[in-house]
Amino acid sequence: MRAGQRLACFAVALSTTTSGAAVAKRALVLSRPPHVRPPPDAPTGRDVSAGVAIDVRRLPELDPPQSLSRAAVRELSGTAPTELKVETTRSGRRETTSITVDSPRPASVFVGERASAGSMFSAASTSIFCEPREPRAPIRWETFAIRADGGADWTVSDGFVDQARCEVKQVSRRRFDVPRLVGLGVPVHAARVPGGVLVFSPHAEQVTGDTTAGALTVVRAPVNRVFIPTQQGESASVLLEVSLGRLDAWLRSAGADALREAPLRVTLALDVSQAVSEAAPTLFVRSKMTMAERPPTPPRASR
Amino acid sequence: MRRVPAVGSLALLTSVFAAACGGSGRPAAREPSPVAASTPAREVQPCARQRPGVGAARVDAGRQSGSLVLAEVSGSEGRRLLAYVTDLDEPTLRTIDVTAGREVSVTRLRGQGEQALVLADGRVAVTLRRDNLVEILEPGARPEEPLSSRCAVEVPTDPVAMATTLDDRALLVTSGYAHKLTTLDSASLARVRTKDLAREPRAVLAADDGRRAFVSHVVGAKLSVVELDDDAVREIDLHQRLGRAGLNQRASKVREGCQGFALAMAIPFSVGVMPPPPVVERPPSAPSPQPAPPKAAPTTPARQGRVFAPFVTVDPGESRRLTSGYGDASSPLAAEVSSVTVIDAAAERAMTRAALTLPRREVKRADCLLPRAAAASGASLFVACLGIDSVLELDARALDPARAEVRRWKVPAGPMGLALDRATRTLIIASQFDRQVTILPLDGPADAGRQLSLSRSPGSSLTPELALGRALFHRTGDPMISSDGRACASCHPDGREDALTWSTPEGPRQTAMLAGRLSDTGPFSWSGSHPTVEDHVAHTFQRLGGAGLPAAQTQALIAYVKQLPVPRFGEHAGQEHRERVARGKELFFDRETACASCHVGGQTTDGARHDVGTRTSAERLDLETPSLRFVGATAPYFHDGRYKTLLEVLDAPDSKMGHTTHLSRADRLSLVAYLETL
Repeated sequence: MRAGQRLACFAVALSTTTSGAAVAKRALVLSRPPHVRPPPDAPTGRDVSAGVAIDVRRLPELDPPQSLSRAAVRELSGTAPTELKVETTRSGRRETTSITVDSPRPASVFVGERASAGSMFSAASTSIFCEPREPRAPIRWETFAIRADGGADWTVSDGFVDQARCEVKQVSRRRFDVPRLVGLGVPVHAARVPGGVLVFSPHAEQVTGDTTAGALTVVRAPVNRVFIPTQQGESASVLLEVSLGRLDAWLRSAGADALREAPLRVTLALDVSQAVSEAAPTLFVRSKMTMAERPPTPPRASR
Repeated sequence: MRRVPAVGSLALLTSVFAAACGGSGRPAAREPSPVAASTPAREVQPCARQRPGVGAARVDAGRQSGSLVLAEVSGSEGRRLLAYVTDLDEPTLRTIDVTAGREVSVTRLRGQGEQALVLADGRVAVTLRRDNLVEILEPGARPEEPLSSRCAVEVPTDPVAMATTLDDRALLVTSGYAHKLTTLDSASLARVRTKDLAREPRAVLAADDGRRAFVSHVVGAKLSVVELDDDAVREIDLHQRLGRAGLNQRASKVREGCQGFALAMAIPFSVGVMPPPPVVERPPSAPSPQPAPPKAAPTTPARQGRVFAPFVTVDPGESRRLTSGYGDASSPLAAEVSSVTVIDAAAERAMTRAALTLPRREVKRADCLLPRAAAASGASLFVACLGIDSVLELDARALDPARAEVRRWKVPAGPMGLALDRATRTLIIASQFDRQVTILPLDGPADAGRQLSLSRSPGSSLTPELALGRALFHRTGDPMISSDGRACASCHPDGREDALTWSTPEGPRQTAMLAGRLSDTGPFSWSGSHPTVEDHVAHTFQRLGGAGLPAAQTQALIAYVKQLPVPRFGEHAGQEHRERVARGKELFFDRETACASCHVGGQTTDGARHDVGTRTSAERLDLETPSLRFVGATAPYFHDGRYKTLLEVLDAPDSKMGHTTHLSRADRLSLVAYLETL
């Protein structure tokens, strides 16, 4: 497959299965409704901000594989996945296959054609009915592990669910090395991919974004990632609110150090822009961590 | 163009005297007629330098004006950094020795100086806003000597900001009220060209290609791009959409814009000094990534850079909805939110398109809602903010640098001038209200700044009450004034109006101009329900969610607003224009047209309410007759902003507000010409 084709395929894989509107709707459903606001006594605190700007050309380029199609998995054979825990349970007449990524690292699993696409949420496990007449369905699972040197291993495995036999087979497994953007308070990793930039962050609770060209896509999952298209003369902005309830657990499971101080709020702003006169896009990532106000130090008693 | 040669011109003295003595400043026409730029033989280049190479010179490529600009003197003792500071309260230009940290001289100007600009040969140009002049000064051999006035040239009404082109041949001058950009020959100050722009142009900067200029506008959420060699003017839309919780949504909510007072420019990140080294950790064993070759060469290498336009995005609310105050309190963003739009200078397009927000409404009392000056250097954008009296360092690499604050410094009240000396990495700030200059080394500790006071000439006109009123008028984030941070100056920039129509409990209402319209125009508000200014101010604060000011502060605020400076129209319209104005005046007072039956007296209002046929289901019917003073530059028109131009008002088939439908087009244009002189 030529690079151009791979680029297109990956763009498709990352874009919505239906349309931009569907993506937006899904994002709205998954996010807290806009009218819900924190109570008047919502915590306030001091902000700790940091920003990192990178010439996108300096990021390594990854070439993640396209998701498997239904047609493709019909003909494929595979092996039993070592990373998945697959259990079949019976409830009345129906059998259900429960699939869990058996990894201590943040993991996500998606079932279906172009399953990794779009603005969607997925956890590390899923379940599917055993149906004798159903054709095989593609399955993809991912893990994200931060190494001691700060970089991360993003593994992407593809296979299929054979619903007739209530089993899962693995077809391929790829590992990608994603560098970390240093100095942001929370781990943020980024890489160049065909057509844009892929940014990995801790699990996000809410995401909003806008772009002048192409389509932003976000996978709000333990392996949380945002695809931002890059194009000369165009720009895109994304705002993520990191899920605080899962942050500590996420950091521990990913292999990152726990934060010294628990934040009240963590927001990440991702901007990608390239003026027409600029040779390359710039990725600008800014983190803002709102920390609780420290109680004032009581004055020392004079002697 | 009229050139006023060296001090002593009878004409100038007459006009200054008339102004000082409360002359009406209301001529028969608004604009000076173009006068041949030829110079009389006896005036050999009166504006040119007399002693080239003597005295202070321009610093770097400081080609933009400001209320504080830098110059330098090099000598045996090394470099002395100077700052010229215009004075909001006195017709003087101060020379500050930044290196020594003291004021070294005071130059008397022919009028109140607004902004200054050091020309390539060291001359200093100063806009005299109330006198419609640009005065040219020449530095002496020593900074301690006051500058000597070389000449003053007349420009369209309300000159504010200036810039020089890349080749330093042209001096560009924006005129706010007259909405013009005038190109002057920077050597002779002869007028080369005058272009009509959108309302209230302010900051101007010349693009790197030497062929274009960018002009900000206080109102209208737009940036003008002016081709300097021909008559082309293009506009860049700065409206932002509200990005709510979702992706790839084309949000229907469009936010308006206001407060476009400042502009700054940076060279492209990827070819210049902007980005720091990439901050990417890689495993030691992994090979370093090879930078890919550029995908495409710059389309026009001469056209490059990013322009930064600090302003405020505004949500005035849905015009059809009745609200409890000014704007929609249920909007996910506050009515006014600071922003810096980044513009692709080559593509002439805003790169910042969306006001992203997560679903929460935050009141940021420390927001920069009144940006007044900006400077860019490297990855930093510095913005001086009235209201919070702070200077912000923003990360210029963000798509909305207002969201990427790096640090801020609290400075004395009224920061309106800002300049950066790149050689010493020092920021110099002029705080006009407190008459202080702050010298701030960027690489030093946070408290390393020095401050020095500007001297005050004997007999200064600014009373403590007016000073208090001015501070209150511009104070943002004050819970006594509003609950969401808005200041009086938010909707009334420079005491004028924001060109917006706000949703209110009575329906859509356009902001009214304050300057020149407050005395003898009661009762107040569109419905005329407030008999006194005090009532109206209290009511306005209530609608803004403010607790209200104590009586003494309210009086100080009103005193300040009542003496807000108003534009003074130029004197030199052509014969044809004068005839048109005269005809318009006839029509205005004509019984059949009946404009003057309601718009009576010096303030052009009868102080009564009338039903002028503006009924909608959500509105009251009777409206107070508004003053028509300065109506020529307060578009849009009508209480709900339904008409974009005065001609549209006269074209409207409305028989209740005067009778103009029977007039010929020529007569309507004459009436417009007259209205523009009010």
